[in-house]
Amino acid sequence: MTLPSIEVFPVGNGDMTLITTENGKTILIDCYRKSGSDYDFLEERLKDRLNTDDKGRPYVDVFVLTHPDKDHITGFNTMFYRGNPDDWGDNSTRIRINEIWSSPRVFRRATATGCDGNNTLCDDAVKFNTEVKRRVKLYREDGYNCGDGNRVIILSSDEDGKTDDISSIVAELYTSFGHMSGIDDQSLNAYLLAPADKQEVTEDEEELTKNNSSAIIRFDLSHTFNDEGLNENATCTKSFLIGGDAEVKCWEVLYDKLESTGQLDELAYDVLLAPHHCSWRSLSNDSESKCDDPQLNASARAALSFANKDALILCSSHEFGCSTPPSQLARDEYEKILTDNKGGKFLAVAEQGEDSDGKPNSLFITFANNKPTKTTKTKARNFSKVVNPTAVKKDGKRTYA
Amino acid sequence: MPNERANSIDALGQLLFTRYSAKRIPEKDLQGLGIPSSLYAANWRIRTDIKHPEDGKTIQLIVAARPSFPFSVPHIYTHPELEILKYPHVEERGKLCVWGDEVSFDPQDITYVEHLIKDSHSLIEETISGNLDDDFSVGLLSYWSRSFKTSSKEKKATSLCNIRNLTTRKIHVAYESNKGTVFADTEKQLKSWLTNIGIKSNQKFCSTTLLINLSEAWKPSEYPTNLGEILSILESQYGDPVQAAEAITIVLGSSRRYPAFLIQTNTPNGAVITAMNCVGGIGTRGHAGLLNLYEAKIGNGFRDSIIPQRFLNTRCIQLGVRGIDIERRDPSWVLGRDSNSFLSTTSGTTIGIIGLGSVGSSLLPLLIKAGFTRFVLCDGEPLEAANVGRHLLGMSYVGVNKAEACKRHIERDYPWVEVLHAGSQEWFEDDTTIDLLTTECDLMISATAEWASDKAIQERIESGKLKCCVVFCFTEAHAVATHCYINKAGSFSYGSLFDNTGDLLESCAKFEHRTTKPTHFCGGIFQPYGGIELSFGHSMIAEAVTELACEGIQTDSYRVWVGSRKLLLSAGGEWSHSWEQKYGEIDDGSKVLKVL
Repeated sequence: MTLPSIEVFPVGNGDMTLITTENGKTILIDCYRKSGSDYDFLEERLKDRLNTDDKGRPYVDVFVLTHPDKDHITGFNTMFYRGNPDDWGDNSTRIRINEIWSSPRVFRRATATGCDGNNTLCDDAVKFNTEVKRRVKLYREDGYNCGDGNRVIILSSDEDGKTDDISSIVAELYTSFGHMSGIDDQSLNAYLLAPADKQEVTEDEEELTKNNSSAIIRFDLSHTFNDEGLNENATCTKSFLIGGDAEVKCWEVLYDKLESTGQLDELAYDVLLAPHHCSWRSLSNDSESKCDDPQLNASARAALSFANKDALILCSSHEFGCSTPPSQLARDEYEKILTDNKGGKFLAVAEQGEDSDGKPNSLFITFANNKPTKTTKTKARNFSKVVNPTAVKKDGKRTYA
Repeated sequence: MPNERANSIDALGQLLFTRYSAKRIPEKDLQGLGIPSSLYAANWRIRTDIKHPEDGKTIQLIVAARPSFPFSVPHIYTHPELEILKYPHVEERGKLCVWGDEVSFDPQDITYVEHLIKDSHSLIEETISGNLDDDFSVGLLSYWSRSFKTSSKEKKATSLCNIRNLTTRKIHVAYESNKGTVFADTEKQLKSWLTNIGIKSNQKFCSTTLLINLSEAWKPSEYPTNLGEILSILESQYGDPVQAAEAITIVLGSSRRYPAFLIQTNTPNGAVITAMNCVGGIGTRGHAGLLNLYEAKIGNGFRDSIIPQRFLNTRCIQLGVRGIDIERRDPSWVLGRDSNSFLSTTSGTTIGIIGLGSVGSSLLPLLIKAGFTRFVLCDGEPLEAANVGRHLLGMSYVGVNKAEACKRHIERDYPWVEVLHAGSQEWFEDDTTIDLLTTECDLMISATAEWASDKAIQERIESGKLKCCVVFCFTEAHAVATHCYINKAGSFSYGSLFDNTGDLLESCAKFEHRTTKPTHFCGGIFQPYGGIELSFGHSMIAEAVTELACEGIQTDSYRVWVGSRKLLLSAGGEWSHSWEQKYGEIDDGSKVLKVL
């Protein structure tokens, strides 16, 4: 076992984030691999991080789609295998997805007429949706979530009772649903915070539709470590909050809901992936460019303020200062949140420099010393570390024959 | 693959991925890396940040698990390969020699592989940096053996040379085609060895050659490729081209076309013997079908010993040399890899053994392994099939006189041993045996359990003809107790253990019934016991003899191995009260009692 990790890939204004649990299970949140050889390194790097089967074929244990925008799903068709896993060719270099987490409600809002200027799914999103439907159909036919490459979990029930017959694979809002997954990893839990249910007030629903509705999930990553003080193994759990491109209305609705139910502690995080590539529009109803004095939305700001001590807020975007997002105003606010919460750091993937091949580095986070820590993949491999020093003795032989 | 093995492989894959993001390598890709896929159940690659020193790519560790994982340690390769013989601890196809024999691990905790990978990573860094270059000397034979290729027909050569002699010198060699080339310091030593392994020495394949002693080991880049380099080394050693030329002409003067020579190298781990031969052949032209012409050699136009220097240099440079497989079989190596401090004493001691039955014969291999090399053997009886159950020798020697059979056996299996004589009569009936026992032997072992023979020994001791110590050995009924009495030179105190007919006055065990059984021959009897119960006594006697040879004695010494009470009771006996009153309690037995 090793430390869990979070790797934010340098995809520019988009998201592609890989969680690796202490048991080596991998959860990929969104993907953004533009076409062209300039982005080959992203695919190679992703595959380098994934486990392979006995034929050397890569697979990811879970693929989570927060929402079907291009900057969260591009490359799905070229990088991932779709269809019956039995037909996955022996020489295939495509990544098999053992289990998909997806939300039909997010798809519905994304394609609703009058949504934020984009009511047509991109080709990758269509292919993704087809694959989800194949898996759901299989579940309906077989009655169980059957095997690697066929499993699916629906993030929040769909409207009009469309998912009532498959409730066993539907994760309900404001619940932990790690146990529903076939990932079989006790070190991982997931708590579903959005997409919110259809709002009773039509205007609110329209606002949500316009606000880049996304799945919002808190991942709880546990790891075992040796507590030197107690000289025994102890378990530590760290939370990673992701919200895709969820904008201000989503966070406002979420905060108000949890406040009303007394569950605001569900928003606490050790690592936050700043929503919508650190967009101001996740924190404010006012346009940063059109408004002279844009004001924060108190509920949205509060929803994103539950940073634990030493928390990290990560930004997956291109460099600050070119165009928004990313927003410097938002960054300032996030840094204020961290300061208010006794430390922590705001880290942008675009500020991580280049590797020896001249390719931009990922932002790589582990939990050394029980706090989120920026490191590198090479350092994380840590060739000098051994779990059990007594497993080998260099001069241990005292018996001969 | 059985399930439990498959589970171990899966667990290893999970560990390697979790710790190092390792990737499983499909079999088809493995072949592309030059790694033999048939040896391994599964293989993974791990990226490192170490740059390959030649092509600049980052090195990947290939973890190759054999089907016997976790009980066998996975092999570790590098990709791209590190060059063999350029970097220490690198083997064929980039395989790393990571762990030595001293490493032990817990096979039930596969995280031991983390240690292996950690050590492999460090090893790569260190070997590339040059910090481990001294290991080329420490593990010289590993690297030397990889510097040349031999044909499958080529037999491994044998060195009998004394590695304590640190000079460059002329030695003797036999180019024997069936058993391989043998090198020895002396002609006598060489002939004795050849005779013992069943080869009649012949001038046609015997010759002289050179042993070159190096104070420091070559690095692989320094391994010579032509005789000119050897000549340069000799010139450097002698500081005199003439002496060097004389030395090299010992090789060139060989009767063989492809003469071989030895290189002794002194490394931090002790002396190492390696061998080379001239690959091009020292002939400069063939017979061209004219068989009556002698073959011209490298010294063509000159006698071997007086080739002018300018020609010698040129011709030596043109003559290629390469390593050949060789193994040391000299006693210092065979009997403890140069670490047996007793050898210098034991190897100089000649032992006479009379009586090569169940007690005497089995002492031989123990004494030989203790370093004794010269023996006089004597026994008047042939080996019977019914002896085999408790005798050193097996069925192939049935019908052969026991002394002669033992001689053949030990000479064949331990060819450095010299049996001066194998007497096939009672020793006191054979003048040659008597002469050798009394003049050549430094100590004598009597294992006849025959009173008449013992009394004959007494007579020779008291007459002053037998001047050495005599070790008397015998066992009691059912071999419940085996006695070893060291009778110091000049007296016969041993006789005090017996009455005038040779009846043992105090035995450890008492039996109320007759323990012997009649044979099917007139008057013949035998005492039933087996080899196991006797074997403890053999060890005790061999130890006593070795102590005697190495330390000497001031007074007689008497010790008895008493077997277990269980053995005694199963044979229907009991410990003798009289013995116990006199020498102490035996209790459960299974111990050595030091009586004197």
